[in-house]
Amino acid sequence: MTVILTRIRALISLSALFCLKAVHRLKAPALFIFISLSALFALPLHAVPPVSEVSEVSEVSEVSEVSEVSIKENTDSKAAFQQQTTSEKQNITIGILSQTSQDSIKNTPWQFTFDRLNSHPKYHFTPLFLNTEQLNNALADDELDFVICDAIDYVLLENQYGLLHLITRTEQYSGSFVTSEGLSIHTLNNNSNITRLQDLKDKKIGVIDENSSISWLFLEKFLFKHGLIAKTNITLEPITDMSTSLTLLQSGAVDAIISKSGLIAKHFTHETMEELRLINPRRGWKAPFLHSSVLIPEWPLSKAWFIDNNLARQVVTLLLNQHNNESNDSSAYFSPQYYWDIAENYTALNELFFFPGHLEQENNDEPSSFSQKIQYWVSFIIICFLVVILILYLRSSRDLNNKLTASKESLEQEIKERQHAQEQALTHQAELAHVARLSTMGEMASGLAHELNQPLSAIHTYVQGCIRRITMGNADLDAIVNALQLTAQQADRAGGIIRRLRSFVRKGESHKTYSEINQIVHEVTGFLDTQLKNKQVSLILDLEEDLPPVLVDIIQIEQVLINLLKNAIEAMSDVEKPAIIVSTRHASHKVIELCVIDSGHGISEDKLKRIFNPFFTTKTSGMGMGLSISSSIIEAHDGKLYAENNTEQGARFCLTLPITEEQPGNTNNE
Amino acid sequence: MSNDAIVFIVDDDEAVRQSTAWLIESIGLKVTTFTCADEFLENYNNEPGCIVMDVRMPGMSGLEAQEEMKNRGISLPLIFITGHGDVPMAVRALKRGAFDFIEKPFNDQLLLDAVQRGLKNNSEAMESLIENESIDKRIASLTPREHEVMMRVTEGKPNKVIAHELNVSIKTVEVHRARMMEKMEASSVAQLVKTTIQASKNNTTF
Repeated sequence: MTVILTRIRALISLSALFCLKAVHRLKAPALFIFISLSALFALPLHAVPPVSEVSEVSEVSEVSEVSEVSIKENTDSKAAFQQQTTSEKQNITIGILSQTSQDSIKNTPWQFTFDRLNSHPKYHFTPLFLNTEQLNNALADDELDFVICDAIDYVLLENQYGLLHLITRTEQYSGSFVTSEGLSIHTLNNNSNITRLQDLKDKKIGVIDENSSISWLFLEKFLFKHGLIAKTNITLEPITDMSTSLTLLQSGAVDAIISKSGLIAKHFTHETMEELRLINPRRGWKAPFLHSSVLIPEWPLSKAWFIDNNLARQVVTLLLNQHNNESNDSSAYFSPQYYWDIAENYTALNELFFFPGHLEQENNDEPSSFSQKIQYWVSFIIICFLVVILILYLRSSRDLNNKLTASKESLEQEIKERQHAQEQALTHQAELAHVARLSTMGEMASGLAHELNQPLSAIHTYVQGCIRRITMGNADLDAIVNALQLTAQQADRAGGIIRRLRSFVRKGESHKTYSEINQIVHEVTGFLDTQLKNKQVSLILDLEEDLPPVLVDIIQIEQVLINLLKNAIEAMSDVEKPAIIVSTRHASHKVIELCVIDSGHGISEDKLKRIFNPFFTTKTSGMGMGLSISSSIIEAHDGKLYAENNTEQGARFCLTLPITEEQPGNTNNE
Repeated sequence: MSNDAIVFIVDDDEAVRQSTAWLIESIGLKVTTFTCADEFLENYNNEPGCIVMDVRMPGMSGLEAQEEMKNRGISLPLIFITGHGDVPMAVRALKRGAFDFIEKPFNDQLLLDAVQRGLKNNSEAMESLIENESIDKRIASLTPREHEVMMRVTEGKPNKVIAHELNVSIKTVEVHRARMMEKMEASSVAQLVKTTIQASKNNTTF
């Protein structure tokens, strides 16, 4: 049991260690699991010790504190009972082992003993004759206060019911008290093969058992202790007629004979005894004859576990005093009477039965009693339970870990995808802006053609004029040089237009530089000059001077402004004296505001809400992406693009751009 | 072709304006430039010549200027130049009496031809205008009786019939006829008929 306990504790600490390891791996999420598991562990931890204590107590066969307490209670109640009925004696039951049913002690050797006992003023002792089975049952029900039985039964019952022997019965024999008996094993004196008990292996042995008085259980246990197992490596032959035993020995039918000690010496003559030799001779101080086995002590009187020492002492005192006071009265009894003496040693017998030597080592661990079996199985189940929990826990923690790893991986994947998507969205925005610029350029193609046409016409005309002058011979060289210089200027002008066109439709990533917003306005209005002229739109620039530079992608802001101006021009196609005001101003110390104000019909409320939606258009041509893209461009610059109606006429589109602190080194980016 | 004739160039684009002037000056013509139609209208003082004008200009457009000139009785030949002319625009301009319609960038010869034709047309128109004016004056100098006699003479009626219709003597008719012929500076009845046809063409009221 102790071994099992140690195992359980080791296992629990081991599992706790596992848990701690697991906790380290899983950190917080596992803490909860660990705590709940510890709670599970705590349950058997607390449940086990009481079981073990009880088992230890029963193993040592000592009267435990618990027993003493209950004895006290018992005696206390008995005392209380005694006080109530002072006239009546308290009844004490003594169980006596008897294979034959008896009702009375009259004419039995017990009569003397009970007469002595009942001389006690307070107690009345009642004998109860019981066979082995009845004795067992009565003890199990705690019905017996004292038990008188043979030594072998006592040894068996002692372990099971916590009996404690007090004194030992004696029989008066040959003037001395013989209180013990053992076994004698004789062989022929001339048989040199058998000198030790071990030599009896594979031999045939006669057992003298005339009156079935020999205890076969004791015999087997005794032989077993010396490595002799009946029907396995030794043959036991009962001999019912003792007189034939010598003949059997001499004829070789049996190799040795076993008898109760003293029996051979009593029956055979001195000459016959000369022929015989005792194997493993030993002498007990209480036995008059040599014998081979340990002695079986005489019957003990034992008390039940709940009888307190006070009562036991009184009983012992009564019975031990019999010799002095009443030995002379023995003649008053018809039959021989049992007397009592101080307790013999029952340890040897106990050892023979419960520690039968090296051969039974393997059986030693086997739980002998039912409670031990239960304890064993309970421990086993607890261990299994713990192991199962541990396995489940480890598995679940492993699963959790796997899940965690998987989700972490998927999370990383998602982050990557999101980053990728963001990059793609940026790229798409730039691409969309680019496409929108291309579209704008397409819509402005005729205006641009005219724009380019002007310098080309001028160049052509200048050159033709020069040629004419030269061919006609009236060339004024200075005038011609001047004209050619003007021609070159016009070529530059055409080149400028182409350059601007190319940069405007340029594909590429957003490239922000610190720029003057007014300069952008000039660029764009210059770009749209022809368009404005063609539509007879008068343009008024209301630009605040000395505005701080803003960090913008010039091309994209130009695109937005062109878009707003184009929309304004188109909104005023059927308006008399169309006019556009482009204004820039410091809206706050952090924001620059640019407004394009037209004198058109304005925008109806429902259209005003949807005007920045993609594919929303009021025109017959165009995709309706212009304002949507413009809005996204301004948002990408951390600004805002909004539209509202003027109080008098037309609408205004305003965009705000944040003023950022100019970083040294960025100023030259332009 | 009068040496006083001036080519008026009206274009808002300086380069186009100057280069056109440079080209036209290369054939020895006088050129005056204006940046817009308004400027031209303000400064024009019935000089002979022709106009080279851009169709699209800020403020008054070329077509509007054409209308305005008609209102003001300016009958200079008008040559439109345009960077993105289309057929409807050209038709409209020509219907309204534009002399020519040229697309930029123009062939230099084409423009110069047009200008010269315009100038010639203008000088002829000026001459016919002067002649018409003298006829009108001659007709205006006739007395009512002389005007009646002239009408009947151009209808081929003999003096006797005229005298009968006017209920006067033949002698009187002869005197009126002689004075009328003198005033109309007609040496024969045929010349008188020619002059009166010219006058009716010019819508002059008899």
